[in-house]
This record gives sequence, C-alpha cells and structure tokens, in this order.
Amino acid sequence: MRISNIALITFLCSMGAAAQDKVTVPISNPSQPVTLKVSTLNGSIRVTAGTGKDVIVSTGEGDVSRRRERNPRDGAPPGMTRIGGGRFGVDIEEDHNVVTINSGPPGGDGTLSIETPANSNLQLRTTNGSTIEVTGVNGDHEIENTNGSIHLNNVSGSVVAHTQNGAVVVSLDRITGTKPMSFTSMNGKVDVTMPAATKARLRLKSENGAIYSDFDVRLEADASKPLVEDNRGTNGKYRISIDKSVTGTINGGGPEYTFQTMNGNILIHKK
Amino acid sequence: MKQILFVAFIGATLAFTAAGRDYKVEDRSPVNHTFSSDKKLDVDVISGSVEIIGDGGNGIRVTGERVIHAADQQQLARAKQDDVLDMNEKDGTAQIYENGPFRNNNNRSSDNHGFHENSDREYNVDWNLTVHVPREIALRLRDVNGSIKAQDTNGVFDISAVNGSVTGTNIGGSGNISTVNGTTVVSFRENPKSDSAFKSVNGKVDVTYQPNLAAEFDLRTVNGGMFTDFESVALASTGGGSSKDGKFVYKSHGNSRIQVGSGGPQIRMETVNGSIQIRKAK
Repeated sequence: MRISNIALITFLCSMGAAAQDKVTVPISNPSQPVTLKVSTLNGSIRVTAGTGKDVIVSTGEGDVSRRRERNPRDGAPPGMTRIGGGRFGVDIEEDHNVVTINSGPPGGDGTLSIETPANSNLQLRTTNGSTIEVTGVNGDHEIENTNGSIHLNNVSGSVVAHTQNGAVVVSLDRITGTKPMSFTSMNGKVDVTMPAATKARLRLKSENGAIYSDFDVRLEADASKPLVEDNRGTNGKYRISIDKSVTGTINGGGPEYTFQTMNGNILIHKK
Repeated sequence: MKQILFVAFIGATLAFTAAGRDYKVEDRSPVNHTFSSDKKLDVDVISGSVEIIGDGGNGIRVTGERVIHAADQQQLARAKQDDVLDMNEKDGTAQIYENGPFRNNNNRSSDNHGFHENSDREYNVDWNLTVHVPREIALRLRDVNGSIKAQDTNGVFDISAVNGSVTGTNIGGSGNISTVNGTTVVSFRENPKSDSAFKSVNGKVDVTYQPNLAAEFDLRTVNGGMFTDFESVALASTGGGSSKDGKFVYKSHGNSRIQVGSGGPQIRMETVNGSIQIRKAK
C-alpha cells in the first residue's frame, strides 16, 4: 500500500475564500477493477474516469457556497466577509480495491468530485444532492438519488439507476454481460441512450407520461394476468391489481431492462 | 356547568405551577469573603451567576448573594443546611465551591457533604457571585445553571458553563471557554499567545481580537455561517491518510482552517447551532 503517495493539495485563496481538499487514495491492486462506494446526505457526486491508477477525491464547494464565495458579503454581518464553510467531513477507506467514501455531517452543500480508474464498479448514493453525474466509467453501476437527478454520460457495463425526484438520463456506450438493468424515477423523465445493436426485453411503464423510442420495439401480447389478493378470511380486503407495464423486445430480445416513471416521459434512444 | 369548568381550570393551573416549582418562600443573604494573594481562582457552582473582575489589587474579594426559593419554611431551613458555599485555600488556589447533596466524589467537600438522595427537595439555591481578583490570576470557572462573565483579567483561563452564556470582556491570556446552551462572546485586550479554544453547542461564538492578530484558526459550525473582518488565507484541512489494519483510511471533519497575519497560536472556534465571528477590535 503506497501511503507515501497520499497527497493533500490545497489551493490557498485570499479573503476568506474556501479551500478545496484533494485526497489521492492508493489502490491495493491496480490491475483489478475498483469498487467505489459513495454515500452522502447533502451534496452532489461527480465521478469521472481518470487515466491514473488511483482514486482521487476532491471535496469542493457546492452551488450555494460558490455563490457566496463570489459574493462573500452575502448574509454576512456589516463589514464582515464569509469564511468558506461549504465543505463537509469525509471518511475514505480503501480495502482490497473497495473504496468507501462517506461524507457528513452536513456542514455545507459541497460536491464530492471523484476521479476513478476507467474500470470501476460504482455504488453511489445521495439523499439531497442536486445531481449524481458519472462520465466514462466502465463497470456495474448502482446509482441512487432521492431529491435530485442522475446523469450517466458515456458509461459502459450495466446500470441500475433510481431517483425519487429528478430525471434519469443515461448514455451507454457499450453494454457488457447479460445483466438486467433498471432506469426508474418517481417524478422525472427517464431518458436512456443505448447502442443500436442492443438486444433486450424492455419493460416500460409511465403512469402519467408517454413512451418514445427510435428502436424497433416488438411489443409482446399482454399476457399478464390480474393479481388477486384475497384476505377476506382474516378481515382483510379483496384486491385486484393490474400491471400496466408494456413489454417488448429489441433486436430479438435479451436480458430484461426496466424503464419506469410515475410522472414523466420515457425516451429510449438508439446510439 | 361554567362554574365547574372554571374550578377545574383553576385546579389545573395550581397543579401546573406546583410542577413548575413556583416556590413561595424567598430568602436572600449576602456573601462576603476575602482570600489572601492566591495565584489561581477556582469557582465551581451549580446554580447562579459568576462575575470575575480584574483590578489592580492583590487580594481576592468575594461579594454576592445567596438566593433561596423554597416551598415552605421547612424546606428553606433544609436548603440552608444542604447547600453551602465552601471557600478554601489550597496550594495557592482560592476555591469557591458550591457544595451539597448533589455532589459526588469531590475532594473539596465539607465533611458533612457528599452525594445523597435529594430528589425530594423542594427548594432552589442560586449563588450570584462577584469576585474581584488581581489581573494576572489564573481562572478556572465552572457553572451549570447560570452565566459566567470575566472582565479585565489577563491570566490563563479555563471557563466552562452548561446552561448559560460565557462572556469575556477586555481580557488577555489564553485558554479554553465553552458552554453548551448559550453564547460564547469574548473581546481581547491583548491577543492570546498560546493555543486557545472557544466553543458552544447551541449558541454563537463571537470573539474580538486586537488588529495585530497573528494566529491560525480551526473553525467549525454545522448550522450557521462563519465570518471575519480580518484579512485571511485558507489553509489545508488537517485530515490525513494513514494505514490502519492494512487499509488506507482518511478522515476529514470538515473544519475550515484559516490563517490571520503571519500565523501563530492555534485557535479553535466551534459550535453546532450558531454562527462564528472573528472580529477586529476598532
């Protein structure tokens, strides 16, 4: 383990402007893929594929703090300037190529910017981050936001992406393996671009929106049967639920990909 | 029906005031004591206000008042017996120590005190004290329910409150000041020459330094802003990576660090709910 490679680089700013901390996390076995697990409460997450073998983590200021930095008297008492306070605490651990990053407590609206080797499996989670953004990373990705959007640009591998309030926008350069994938939101559009040769069975569902695609989707006959729950014998209810999903195949079918939103359109693009 | 409801309301009100310890009996008595020229003052009270005033004298003069609120005369008599102010001198330290059945394992207690069951007491005792001291005296001040003020002192300080604000006015020296529920407000006549800390949990931390300040600050608030009218530069986080059990571990607590002037003593200012202000004396 190359502890000596740890670098703390700080940009000094004048007049109370905030510094950005950068931490280089050495990887135990650089020849093998990295698993990157990130969890934060408040703050955005940006992950990009780097050219190096290490994971580089920067804790920067968020939008609110940057705005305050541009106008340091924002909210300050008369005659005073704001000291950068948008950073948050962050714990980082690397163990056998698994890098775990937890940030908090919420001391600001900072952004975690992470540069990771191109072959990395991502498990990213935030609650009140304005966005989770990933660019160019190849691996199996599990992305979850609660109050914010998800943007995966030119990623490869497999994706499971979900947010409660925000858009899910994914651009897949390459799909590897036959793993099922899922792109879901509660309130927001689901917009996914896949290679033209992608073979898959699509499960599509939008409660209050339309579904669009330039793939040739061969819809399947509606073979789903109503689901009946009869709990009347235990003073329960008799309930019939009907799955409103539409299913179809592209390029002859393959693993199942789920596209779902409650309020928003579903768009499936051919790359 | 209206009369019944009115009576019920009065009864509820009386029950409420009793639960809120609305004691009917009050007793006030003066406190006066003089210590010889000790080098350190140690004040430790549970309830009441503490005010320290530095002056040009050599002695330590304690004035003030004991205020007892009790449910009845019997409880008043019990309060006078239970809750006393021990004033002793030991190893050059003047000790002012509120003693009573609520204390446990202390080495300053009167022979007849120490913790014992006291949950049935129906009285409250406040010791409101003003202590005049030589400016250079070292201070150790503790108060659980009450404010602490220090004025015109110049020695090292170690001041801690729980439910009350701490105020240092026109002081010098270095040390630690903290409270849990209240503000920490300090103005320095002479800037600290050694590491110092100013903290609160629920309250602002507001410290005024002389314009020639040279120090490094470690600042943290969870819910609040941090402000200064000094010129400053941001410093690197103190967090660092290390090897632990074969793992790489890095921890950063998100503190903001700045340097004022050419740097110098480390000054920590911290709160959870409140702002932090570093002011330049006018």
